[in-house]
Order: sequence, then C-alpha cells, then structure tokens
Amino acid sequence: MRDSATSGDTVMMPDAALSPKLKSGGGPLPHLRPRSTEELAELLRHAPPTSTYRIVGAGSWPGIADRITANSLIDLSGLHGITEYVPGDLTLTARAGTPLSVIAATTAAHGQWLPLDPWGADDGTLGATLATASAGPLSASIGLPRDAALGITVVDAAGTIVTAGGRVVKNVAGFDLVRLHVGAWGTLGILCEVTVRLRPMPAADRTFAIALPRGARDLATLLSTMQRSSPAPLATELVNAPLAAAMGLPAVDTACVRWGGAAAAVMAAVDDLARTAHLVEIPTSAWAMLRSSEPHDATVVRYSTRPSELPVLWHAITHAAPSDARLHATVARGVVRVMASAEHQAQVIAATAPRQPAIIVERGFQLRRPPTAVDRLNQTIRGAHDPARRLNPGLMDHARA
Amino acid sequence: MLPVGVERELADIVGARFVLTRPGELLAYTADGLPGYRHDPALVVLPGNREEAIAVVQLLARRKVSFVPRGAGTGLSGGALADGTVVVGLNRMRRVLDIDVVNRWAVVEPGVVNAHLTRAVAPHGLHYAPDPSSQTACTIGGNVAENAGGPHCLKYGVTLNHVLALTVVLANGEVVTLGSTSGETEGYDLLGAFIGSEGCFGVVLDATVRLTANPPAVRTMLADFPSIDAAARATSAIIAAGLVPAALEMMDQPTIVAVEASIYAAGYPTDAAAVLLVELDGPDAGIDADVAAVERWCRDAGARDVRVATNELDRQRLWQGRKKAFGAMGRVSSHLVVQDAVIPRTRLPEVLGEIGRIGREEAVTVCNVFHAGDGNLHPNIPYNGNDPGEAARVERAMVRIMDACIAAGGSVTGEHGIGIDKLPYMPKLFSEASLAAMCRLRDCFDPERRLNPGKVVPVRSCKEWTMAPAARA
Amino acid sequence: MHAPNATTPSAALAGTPLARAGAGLDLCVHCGFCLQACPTYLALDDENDSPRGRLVLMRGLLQGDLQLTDESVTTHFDRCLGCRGCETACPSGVPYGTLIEATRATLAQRRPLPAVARFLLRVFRHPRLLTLALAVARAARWTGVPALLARLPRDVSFPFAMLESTRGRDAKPSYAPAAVAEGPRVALLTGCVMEGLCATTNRATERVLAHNGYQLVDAPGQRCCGALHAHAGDVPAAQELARANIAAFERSGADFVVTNAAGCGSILKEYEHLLADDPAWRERAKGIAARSRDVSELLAARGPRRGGPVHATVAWDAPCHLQHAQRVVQPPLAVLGAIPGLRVVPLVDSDQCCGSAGIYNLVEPDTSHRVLDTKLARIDASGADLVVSSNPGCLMQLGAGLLSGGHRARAVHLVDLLDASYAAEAGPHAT
Ligand SMILES: Cc1cc2nc3c(=O)[nH]c(=O)nc-3n(C[C@H](O)[C@H](O)[C@H](O)COP(=O)(O)OP(=O)(O)OC[C@H]3O[C@@H](n4cnc5c(N)ncnc54)[C@H](O)[C@@H]3O)c2cc1C
Ligand code: SF4
Ligand code: SF4
Repeated sequence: MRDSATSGDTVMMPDAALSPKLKSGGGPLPHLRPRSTEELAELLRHAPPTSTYRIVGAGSWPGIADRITANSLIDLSGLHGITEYVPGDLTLTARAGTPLSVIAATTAAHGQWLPLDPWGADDGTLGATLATASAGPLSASIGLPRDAALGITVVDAAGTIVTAGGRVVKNVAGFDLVRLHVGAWGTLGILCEVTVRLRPMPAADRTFAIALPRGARDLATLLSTMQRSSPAPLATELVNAPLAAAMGLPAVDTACVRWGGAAAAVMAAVDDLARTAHLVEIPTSAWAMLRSSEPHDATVVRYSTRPSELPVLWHAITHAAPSDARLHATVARGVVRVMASAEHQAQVIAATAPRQPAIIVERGFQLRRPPTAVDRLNQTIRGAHDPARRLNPGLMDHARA
Repeated sequence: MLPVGVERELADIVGARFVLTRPGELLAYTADGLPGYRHDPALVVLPGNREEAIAVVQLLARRKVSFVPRGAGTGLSGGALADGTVVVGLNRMRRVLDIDVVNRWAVVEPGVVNAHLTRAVAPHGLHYAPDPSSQTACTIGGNVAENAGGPHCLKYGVTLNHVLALTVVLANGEVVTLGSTSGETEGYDLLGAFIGSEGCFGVVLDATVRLTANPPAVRTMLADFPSIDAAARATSAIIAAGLVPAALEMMDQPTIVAVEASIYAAGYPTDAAAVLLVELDGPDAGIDADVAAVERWCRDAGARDVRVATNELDRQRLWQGRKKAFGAMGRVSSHLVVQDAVIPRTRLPEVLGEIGRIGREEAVTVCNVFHAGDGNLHPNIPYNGNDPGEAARVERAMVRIMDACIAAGGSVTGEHGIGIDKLPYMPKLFSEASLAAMCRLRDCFDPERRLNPGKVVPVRSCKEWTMAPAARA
Repeated sequence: MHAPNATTPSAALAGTPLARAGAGLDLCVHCGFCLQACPTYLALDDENDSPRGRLVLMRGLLQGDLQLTDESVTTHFDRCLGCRGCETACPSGVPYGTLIEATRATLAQRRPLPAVARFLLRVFRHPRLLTLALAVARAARWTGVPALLARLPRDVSFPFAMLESTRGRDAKPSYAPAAVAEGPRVALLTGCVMEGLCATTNRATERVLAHNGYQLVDAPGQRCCGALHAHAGDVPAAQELARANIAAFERSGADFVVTNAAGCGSILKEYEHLLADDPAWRERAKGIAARSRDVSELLAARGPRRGGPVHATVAWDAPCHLQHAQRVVQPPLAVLGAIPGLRVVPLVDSDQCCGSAGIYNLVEPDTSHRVLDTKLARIDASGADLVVSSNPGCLMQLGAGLLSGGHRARAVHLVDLLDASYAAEAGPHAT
C-alpha cells in the first residue's frame, strides 16, 4: 500500500509491522502462556529487557497483529474461568481469558446477561473486549464497555500487580484506574481479572427490520419518529444493502431495531412505530451475523458525528464508498463503520471531509496528524506506565510526534 | 505564604472584589459540607468566566502556587479544602452554554447548579439524570470531580455515565478537551480517568452532559417496615428479582423522626423501623404490573404498609424528605459524622445487622439513610462532640463499621470521594503498588503536584513513587 | 468523618443578644442547601454573602476569632436582606432570622447604624414626623416631579421612581358588599407606608374583606409595626411600638388583626418573641400574635368569593415576609384563583427576594439593585403584564425597577387586583 495524503495535515500510513524494515524474521513468535496473574507478573519481572510482547486473548481480532511490532507473544487463554458470580448482586468476576460465550451461558441460567457485544464473535474474551473497548450495537443504550467494568487486576510492564475498583456497583475510592485500562489495548498493563456489572435479561427481546429504500431520506424520517419511542430501543443499527444481503435480508439499506423489556412495553413501542413504518420481525441471531460480518481482508474505519447529522454523513459515505463495501451505523451514537479496501477508505475520507466527522481507523493503516495537547497527555501516560514500550508496541502510539 | 505580588496579579485578572485575603473573609472557605475539617486557605480567587479561569491557572502555574478548585462546597470528604494554598472558586461560572434538544446533550459551565440544569431543560421534556441529594446546591464541576451519584443512579448510572466531554485546564495552564459526544476518541479514556479525580487532575471549564428524556410513567412507593432487617430483605429481593427500579432508598427510624420534625416533613410514618422509597418509571405499559410485584416483595419481606404517591405534589414531598434527610440530622445533635460505604447488595441484611450491633455496643445512635438499591450505605452518627467519651466511642464505631463493610467485600466510598476524610482507609483497600499506580496517573496530569495536594492517595504512597514522570513526548 | 461544630462563646460577647441566640448556630450542618436560596449570594457570588457563610462569621464573632469592629466581617451582615429565604431552605431548622437580628442588635450596641438608616428609623418611630414625611412625599408625587426625576440615572432616581410607582389608579372601584357582615370582626393594621402612600390599597382591603363577610372594626392608637427597627437591630424602639399596637388592638375587640403588608404581618406574629423578656407584656403579645393574619389568609378561609373577569397575564412574586417568615404560601394563589380571566404564569424564583427588604434598598443600594436586576429579568422572561405581590416595600421596589428600566410589566397589590375583579363583576354602573 502506498502512503497517500488524505486531507490537510493528516497522512495515511501503512500498519507498522507490514513495512518491510520492521517485519520480524518470520516464523512464530516465542509464545508464553501464563496460568495465573502471579505467574504473569513473575514472568514480566524477570523478562529480558529487550523482550517486547504482543498480548493475545483469543486471537480473534483480525488484523491487529499487523500493527504490533513485538518480538514475543503472551497468550492469555490460560487465564480463564469465572472466579465469582453472585447472581443476587448482579456482578461477576472472571479471568481475562474467559470467552464471552462462557459468561453468557453461565449468566443466562440466572436470567442475567453481560450486555457487551463487541465486533467479532462471542468467542472473544472478556479481557480483550474491555482492553479494546469494542462497542457494538448495544452500546447505544446500555453503555460503552467502560460502563460495565467495576474492578480490575492488571499486571504492568514491570510485573507489578495492581488492583483498582472493586466488586461493588458504585465505587469512587481513588483515581479511576479502571477507566484508564479499559480501552488501553493492554499498553498500560495486562488485564488479568475483571469484575463486571450484569443486567437482568429483558423479558422480551425482539428485533425488527425496517427497509429504507430511499436511504438517507428514509433514515431522517425514521429517526425523527423514533426519538419519542418508549422504551428507547436497545439497539438501532443501520446496515447498507450489501451488508443486509450478507445478513440474509433483502439487499436494501435497512434499520435493525431491537427492543427489550416487559413484553407489554415492547409490544406498545412496536405498535407505535408500526403506524408510520413497515416492520418485519427478524431473529435475534441477526445481531451475531452483523457483528461477524467483517471481511478479513478489509480495512475498517469509523466516522462519527452528531446523531442528528447522521443521515447527511450516511449519504456522503454511501456515495463515496464502492457499491460492494459493507457499512453500518450505530444510530444513537452517530457512528458509521466502513469496511473497504485502503484505497476506497481514502476516497471516503476525502468525500466526508466537508462534514468534519471524527475519524478512527480500526485496522489496516494508520492516520498520522500533528499531535495535539491530548496526544501529548496520552504519550505521557504511555511513557509513565511502559517507558520501554514493551507491551503491544505499535498500538496507542499513532500520534507520537 | 504566597509569592509576592500574586494577590495583585490575580486582582488584575478577576477584579479586586473577587480576590479574598482577609482572615474574616477566608473563614467561610475553610470547610466544605463536612465542617469537622477546617483548613485555612491563603487566598480565595473567584474567576468570572473561562478566560479568567485559564489566566488564573496559568498565573498560578508560572508562580508555582498550589491550588484547589471549589464548587459549592457541599462535598462530604473535605475535598475542597486548601491548606495554606489558593482556593479557585468556580461558582461564578454558571451559564448553560448550549442545549441540543435533538441530540440530547447540554454544554454547561462548571458552576451550574445540578438542579438548575434540569430546570433549564425541563421545558423540552428532558432532565439531567444524576441527582445527588445535594442537587439544589452542588455544582456540575463538583459532580464531575466527585463522580457524584444519587437516588436515580440505580437505573440511570452515575456522573461518569452522563458526561460526554469536558474542557479542562490542566495544572500547567494547558487547555484540553477530553472525550467526545459520540464516545469515540483515540487514545486512552482520559475522560473516564478524569471523572472522579477530585480536583487533582485539572479544573473543569465546561462539561458536555447527556440529557435524559422524562419517562412517560412514574410511580413512587413508600413501604413501611417493622424492622431494618425486613426492609433490607425486601431490597435484596427486588434487586435479585431483576427488576431495576429508578430508585430504591432506605431510611431508618431516627432519620424519619428528624425529617418529620423539619420543614421538609414528608408524612413518613414515625413509628416505622425503616421505610423504603421505591420509584419505578418507564413506559405506561407494564408499569402497574411492576408496582404490584414490588408491593408483593415488600409485603413478603414483612412490610406493614405500601402506598403509592397519589399525585405529583405528594411524590415531590416524599422525595424532598429523602433528599434533605442528611441536613435534617443537624437538629438531632450538635455534631455529625457521615460515611459512604458500599457493600454487595446481597449482604445488606447482614451488614445492617452488624452496624446496628456496633451502634449498640458503642452506645451511639446510627441514623441510616441511603441508596439501598446500590448497596451504598450512609450510616450517620449525630453526637455531642463536647463529650470526649462520646466522641471517642463514635470514632471507634465508625472505624468498626467501615471495617465491617470492607470485610463484606465493599468499598469505603460510593460517591463522596476520598478527599482527606477517608485517606486512612485507602491502605485497607489497596496495596502499596496499587496506590503508587494511582499516584503515577496523577503525575501524568500534574507532575508538580500543585493541584489539590494532600488528597485522595495517602502521601506516603506518593513519596514512594520516586520515578520521575516519563519524559513528555 | 466530621466533628467539632459546636460553638464555645468567648467572654467578650457574653450577655449580648448574639450570645443568647448562639445555640441556633449549632444546628447548622454546613450542607449548603441555603446557598441558592440566598439572593445576596447569587448577586455577589461570595460565600461570605451566603447564609452559611454568615453563620460561620457569627460563630467567628462569638468565639472571639473575629472582632465586631472588623468591617470586612460586618459588611456581610449589612448586606443580608433579612429575607429569610434561607430559613425555608434549611432542613436543619437553623433560626437564621433570629440569629441575624441578634447579630445586628449586638452590632448596634457597638457601632452606630448608617446615617440614612438612623434617620429613617427615627421618622418611623415618631408618629408626627412620619405623618409629615408621608404628606411631603404625597405632595411631591402629586406634582409629577418624581415621575420626571425617575428618568434620571438609577443611582439618584431610584427613590423617586419608588414614590412614583405608588401612584394609585385613578378610577375608584366601588361595589356593594355582597355578603352580610356575619363573619369575624377584623381590625386592619393600616401601616405607615400603606396608609401614607397606598391608602387606596387599604380601602380596597376593607372592601374585599367586607365583600367576603368580615366585619371591620377600627383600632385607633395603632402605630408603625416596628419591623424596620427590629430588623435593623434597634430592639428598644421595636418593643415600644409593639406595646402601643398591642394595646390598640386589644381595645378594638377584633377577632383578627389583619395586614396587607407582609412585613408588618410577620412582625405582628413575632411580637411574642420580641417581648419575651417583658413579663408584663409577654402574654398580651402572644394573644395578639396568635390573632394576626395576612389578608390572603382571611380571604382564602372564606373562599374567597369569585369576582368578575380581569383579562391579564400575571405572575405572583411572593413577598419574603409572607413566604419565608410567615410561611403563608397557598392563600395568595387561592386569591388569584378567584379571579376569572387571569392567566397566571410561573415566575422562576418567585420565592426569592426582590432586594427591597425594608430600608435595605436605601442603605445598600448596590446589592439591592443587583438583586432587583435578577428579579426584573425573570419577570421579563415570564411574559407577565402584571407582577402581583402584597407588601408595600416589594411593590415599590418592583414598581420602580419596572418603571425606570422601561419594562413592560407593572406591579400591583394582590388586594387591588381582587378589588378590580369585584368591581368588574358589579359592572361600570354599580355604586
Ligand atoms: C446534604 C448532602 C447530600 C449529599 N448527597 C449526595 C449524593 O446523594 N450523592 C453524591 O454523590 N454526593 C452527595 N453529596 C456530596 C456532594 O454534594 C457532592 O460531592 C458534590 O458533587 C459536590 O459538589 P460541589 O459543587 O459542592 O463541590 P465542592 O464540594 O466544592 O468540591 C468537591 C470536589 O470537587 C472539586 N471541584 C469542584 N469544582 C471543580 C471543577 N470545576 N473542576 C475540578 N474540580 C472541581 C473540588 O476540588 C473538590 O475536590 C451530598 C452532600 C450534602 C451536603
Ligand atoms: S436572610 Fe436572605 S439575604 Fe440574608 S442570608 Fe438569608 S437568604 Fe440570604
Ligand atoms: S441549609 Fe441550614 S444547615 Fe444547611 S448550611 Fe444552610 S443554614 Fe446550615
């Protein structure tokens, strides 16, 4: 991939590990698989100073390895299992390598769930979900991954075990290291154990598809009607025609709306919307299909704007993206996710520039721009926690001057 | 002592009337909502707008002066006290800068009073959900700094869950924006790390906060119990059943009596051992079934009576009584201690029993008024501090209660913050390494440690963190 | 944890009114609920000008940490409106009104009141001086000169604008009392300012009471109620006036003493407290205090009778001494409810002081004007044509502010509005 200037001072760069001079000698990296927090701490305390680590949960995050320039690998799959679950408290503590599917099965037996639905499949781990703060469709109503985390145990680059937060649902004791580590991609320390807040599973959980043949125009109408919906939907995700087709729906721009709650309340909300829109009930499994719809060779970029501006942004993006690109939008947060080749992404970035959306590249390349005061603060934090950049080097360094 | 000339330079920025230095005028700023602690500030400066606030912080940075932000001074952990340093009061910055009705957020200055924000957006059928009991007095800046909670945070979440972005001036005078309206940011969750940093990471200049639509239906219930244990069991039952009330608050008899004697008398039964105030909200459909379920769980746990507020006036009265309960305790005795422990909700009956036992053994009156649904306890002990024997017993009871909560797997503060009041408990909760990690984060925001010095993390832990903050990139 | 709060008085203030009232300070838990209820805190943004701050200063004085001669301290007491908005916000029951009066009385023992204050209080204490002063004021108003002077810059013009704002309506409504006078016997505290400058409102008060069945009786010998003196710390003068009034109302044989001036009503209800140390008068004071009512209370107790339509958009601005001191909240709204055609709009912070506060606006004009400006902005925002209140001080303050600021709304007494409604019902030709 060539370096391509996009707009102003922002420059597209290939992912670090892909550039020939950084590519490690090939072959698998030395592979470490600690089976406890203490073992991991020990390992880091005694590691050779030149070792750098790629941290892996289930290894399911596509493409991320390309960005990390480490010379060894820490596999957290040995840290698995639920260590404490008190259904009456609606809290659960599990080791970082525990797959979400295991947590889902355990909690479902008590009518509870952990409403985190990161992009990808449910074999992703709890630790990775929080470390990446991957926010799926439910984030629009139930909150971001950071809102679910109550307490953590991490091991930092020097091999020190640090705990923060706790097992109670409300806690302001000390500076908030929980929020610091959630979304830090393991660069400040390795998440080993996490306590999360659970929710009662909604009595009724139903999903409907609403076709929007006129795209952005239909979207605007739908959004204004849905403002008043009570209960507010658990999720409203807009998918474009190719993605709808991949999910087994008619190939047309479609809004997928999910309501949860008391059966009567959901019924009332559905009836209300049905007065102005044509709703087709679809199975809840559609969400899993949506989340795992990402082509492995695609680059992924997220654009965000004011939710009220979403129809305009959606319009701009759908027109700039190739007709087979998959796109979807988390409506309540004003976020559009675009899966396409890097060249096409450059076109979309250029086409949306007048709307000035915030742009985050999930994978495939990086954007370099002049560092801001916030970037400098980020780098100070990175440097204070991992001065030698040993944990997931290459990540969270995008704006390093 | 302040460096020479600082007072005059500050007066040049904000005007002489807003720089206080005379001992008489500093007295009002020696305490917050917890007047057991008094620290004498060297000076109080009250900037009137964003530019003045930035200029003040930059001046203090140049002159290497430590300072403490202050909102309304309703904090309950001594967080806004300045010991020989400067107080920067943000109460004059109280404009609502923007209300975006469609996207449901508002941008406010830090001195906006929590309840005034809700008042400003009420015409649009919206409100600001975090509702600390002090909401008619406390400021959004103070709420952000303490990550304030409130009764309705059970369903709607605490301040952290409602702040989308902050503009902050750091101790070195640099202005940064943390977070974004979509929740999408590159880099670390600095917004999340900042919220609850108790004025140690920076001064909030403006906050973009989420607004919440008023629910179509609301039912407020008052359940009356013959024992604290019964009320605790009802609480655990409601939570475990998976119904999430908008709020679930408990008050015990001594609290009820104090409230009923006050101007906020709400008609609580003074002969009840405890009452639960339960609010359900949501769509009209299904709400009455939930009311019936809550009533059933309360009665199963032994409630003598359960009533539903008949109209909005009645409902507000029930809430006012609860929200002013802490203040009402002033009439019980001349002194008052207040705690803020959190425990797992299944342990409520057991821990409340233990607290009762400790109160009896130490011969002190414990008044409980708290966010039961979250397991966030506020055991308050009114007493006569002029009696040294009683004061010592109260002190002992408090430590024992905190230890009991920690032993139950809890925390020492759910919403009031550590400040200076709870510093001694920090080593009981966190290892030295974990406390050092907190200091490390603070040093990233304020390497010179000039912002709100001496708060949140015991000084010992910070001293041991000797490594200089990494070179700035 | 939160500990020492109790006050240990220093010897210096022993025996002063503040030392006697000092126990009230211990009730304050420092919660801050009173801050936003305090107009001077909102206007001045300094915690020293908040109730909680003033209580801290009082404690400082009492403990000897601060001196009565320290002007940086006393100025904050001077700036207190005495509106007692803080009292009805305080969950702990801190008797702020008593404490500030005690503080002022203690201060008055050590330093003279400001010259303006001394002059005004003297006038109000001496019936003949007062009659003369009010006559001069009326004469001046008649000349129309104040109306002109009211247009000058506010610093000099405000007193004239206040005077101008008292000009009554030209048309004199008259209607025959609808009810037979079989109700309780009531004596009106005519009040010095009310009778002197707003006599039309006093007549209206008599008419609307009679229309609701009350029997009016005279109470000759009554004097100024003494409120201004008590609030300023001149307790002996207030007591002297109270005794004269108690005697006059006892003689009248009335079941109720009625006032249409909230400030006067509140001191009447506090006569017992004022004369608590006077064994000869304590019981008599208690008797009169117990029989004192605001006119809205008496009207609401008998309905009030509905009147004819008045088409106006009105907002109720509660006088502090009605809302916070007497804690009479609902009756004025009931009176407004009896007037068909009114559109009553909410006024934000209608329970907050307008800055009038007795003679405060003349003694502390700066703060008074800041407080007033907030009120005027709220009135503008409410969209009301008429701001209804029921205290002469408030009506003059609001009236003058509205007049000199070129605002649309006008200020009117609750009773005058009801009176107009009754007149409208009777029709233009009624006698
Ligand atoms: C009666 C009563 C009831 C209460 N109920 C609750 C409750 O239900 N829930 C709850 O959470 N709390 C409650 N509190 C505690 C208190 O009201 C909250 O902590 C509130 O958030 C403090 O706000 P404040 O404006 O008074 O802040 P202050 O007390 O002035 O300051 C608190 C902290 O915030 C910092 N700070 C203030 N402004 C800024 C700013 N602009 N930028 C950076 N830092 C700043 C200060 O340095 C200090 O550390 C209660 C207090 C009282 C007295
Ligand atoms: S009486 Fe009025 S002005 Fe004085 S402190 Fe109380 S609220 Fe403030
Ligand atoms: S409301 Fe009452 S108790 Fe609270 S600070 Fe004010 S005076 Fe003190």
